[in-house]
Amino acid sequence: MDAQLNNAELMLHSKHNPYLKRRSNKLDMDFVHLATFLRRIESKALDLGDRMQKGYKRIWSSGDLGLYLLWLIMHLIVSIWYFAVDLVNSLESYLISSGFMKQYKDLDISKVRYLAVVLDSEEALDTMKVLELLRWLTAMGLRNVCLYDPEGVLKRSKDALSLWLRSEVMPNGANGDALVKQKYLSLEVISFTDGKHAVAKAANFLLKKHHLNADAEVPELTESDMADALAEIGYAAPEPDLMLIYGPVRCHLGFPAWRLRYTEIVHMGPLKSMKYGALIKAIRRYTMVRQNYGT
Amino acid sequence: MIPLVLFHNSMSSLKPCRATKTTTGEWPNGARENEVIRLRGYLNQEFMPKHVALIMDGNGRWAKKRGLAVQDGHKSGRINLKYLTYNCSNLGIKMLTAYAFSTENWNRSRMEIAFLMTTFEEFIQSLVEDLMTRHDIRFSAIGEKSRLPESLQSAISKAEEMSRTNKGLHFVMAMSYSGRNDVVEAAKIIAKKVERGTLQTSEIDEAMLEQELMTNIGQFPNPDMLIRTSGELRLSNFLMWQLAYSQFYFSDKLFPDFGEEDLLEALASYQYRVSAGFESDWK
Repeated sequence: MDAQLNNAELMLHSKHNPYLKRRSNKLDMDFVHLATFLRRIESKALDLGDRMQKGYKRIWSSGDLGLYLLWLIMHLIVSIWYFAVDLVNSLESYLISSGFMKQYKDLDISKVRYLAVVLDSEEALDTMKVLELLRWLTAMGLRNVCLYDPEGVLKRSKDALSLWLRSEVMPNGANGDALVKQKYLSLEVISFTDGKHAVAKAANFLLKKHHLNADAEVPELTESDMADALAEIGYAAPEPDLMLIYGPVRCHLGFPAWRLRYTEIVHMGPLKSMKYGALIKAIRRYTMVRQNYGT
Repeated sequence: MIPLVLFHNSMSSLKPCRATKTTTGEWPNGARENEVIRLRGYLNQEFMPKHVALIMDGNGRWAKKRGLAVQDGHKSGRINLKYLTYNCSNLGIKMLTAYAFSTENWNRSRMEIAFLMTTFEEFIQSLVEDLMTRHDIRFSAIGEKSRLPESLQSAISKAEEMSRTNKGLHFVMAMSYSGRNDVVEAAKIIAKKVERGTLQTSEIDEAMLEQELMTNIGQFPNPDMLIRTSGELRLSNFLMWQLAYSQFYFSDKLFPDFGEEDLLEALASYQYRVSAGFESDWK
């Protein structure tokens, strides 16, 4: 069963990566999605059973039976509720990624010109999961992605990620023509030092620039001056249209503040339980949004 | 206790459409009193955020949904803000920063801007009479105040002076505010100090910039959480530097509909993550 599911996962990845040769027909793809969905249900059911078992043991180890029984009942109700919510989310994700929900089929990905992905540094250690996410983004047609984690874990694995992605685009190791080069994902990898620290460096740059000009008057700095200074010192980068946050906390963890004026921010949950359907849903939601920019 | 909070948070999303306020913004009597009492009981004072940032979005849409003029939406929003300020004060929150008017809002029609400026002036004056004198709330305003009408600037100065010694909630209104401009102004202040010789430094660092940001008027300059109403998922150039480690709570409710019950749910959501130990992981 495990071997079959591993094969199913590989086939799933091949479906989401158009550059790998497709090996199965549509029926097999649906089986793959169904198998993955059922495995998720199984793991959630086991998790729920495990918690019930722990609660049961706790009752007998305590003298206050009534109080623990009450706690157990309440905890059971809450756990069942969250199990049900998670089940619904998993089902929705399965339906989206299988193409059963028509509104998610035609995604206008051109609206997402620059995507930022913020990862908790602990989660960023799972390089294979990050690579899987990048594969999904490439398969969806995204071309400009910025990866961020506060501690710079992703910076250490940037070269490996780029190499793996390129090797999947050109499996035969050929240098490729111009058309293939266009398919590469442009990957920017940043950390906390590219945020506030960069702005402080830009402020230093502006201060020295005006001092060097022997300008006795206080410089009338504007936002444009700061933006130009950031570009001069090598921190010019686009503002992301959409930011996906993977981690336990709904927080952008210090992503460069200068670039976040109108960025749409979506919390996706832990990286280990990321779902392709949830990714499509988040991106589709963004494409439906109309920004007024304060007017 | 926390699972109960979560359970309630989840169940509340299944409840039928709630009572809406009248156009004057008055609460229907006793509409959600039981709900509020129950939610308050779940919150833990130990995990209460010290500083809450609030983006009050959706006044115009609220009015449009009811066939009212945009001005009625802003009036209802103003009344709701007063109630929420009072609620935050009662809950022991130390600082509340509300995004009233951004630099981008200057692009709106003259009529709407004039109405908004009048609304802000009336709000500050009524705040002086009520919340500051009776509830010990301190008032401050941040942003490019020089762009505001003189009468509003005068009302702000008066309110700030009158409430300077108050020890309760510090209510900060961001008017004509831009997060980027906040950072640029901080850099300018440091440059002035260096020019005058009051600051001897050749290297500006993040800490120096943070000290000169506009939110540094309060005891807790960086918000613990941001609440944004109306379903939008953006910062819109608000406190971008200060929100680096703030927890976001995006509510689908339009601002005039965002009541005490919704505030308590937002706080419960924050407290769950803090009590689960997530905060220490990211701060």
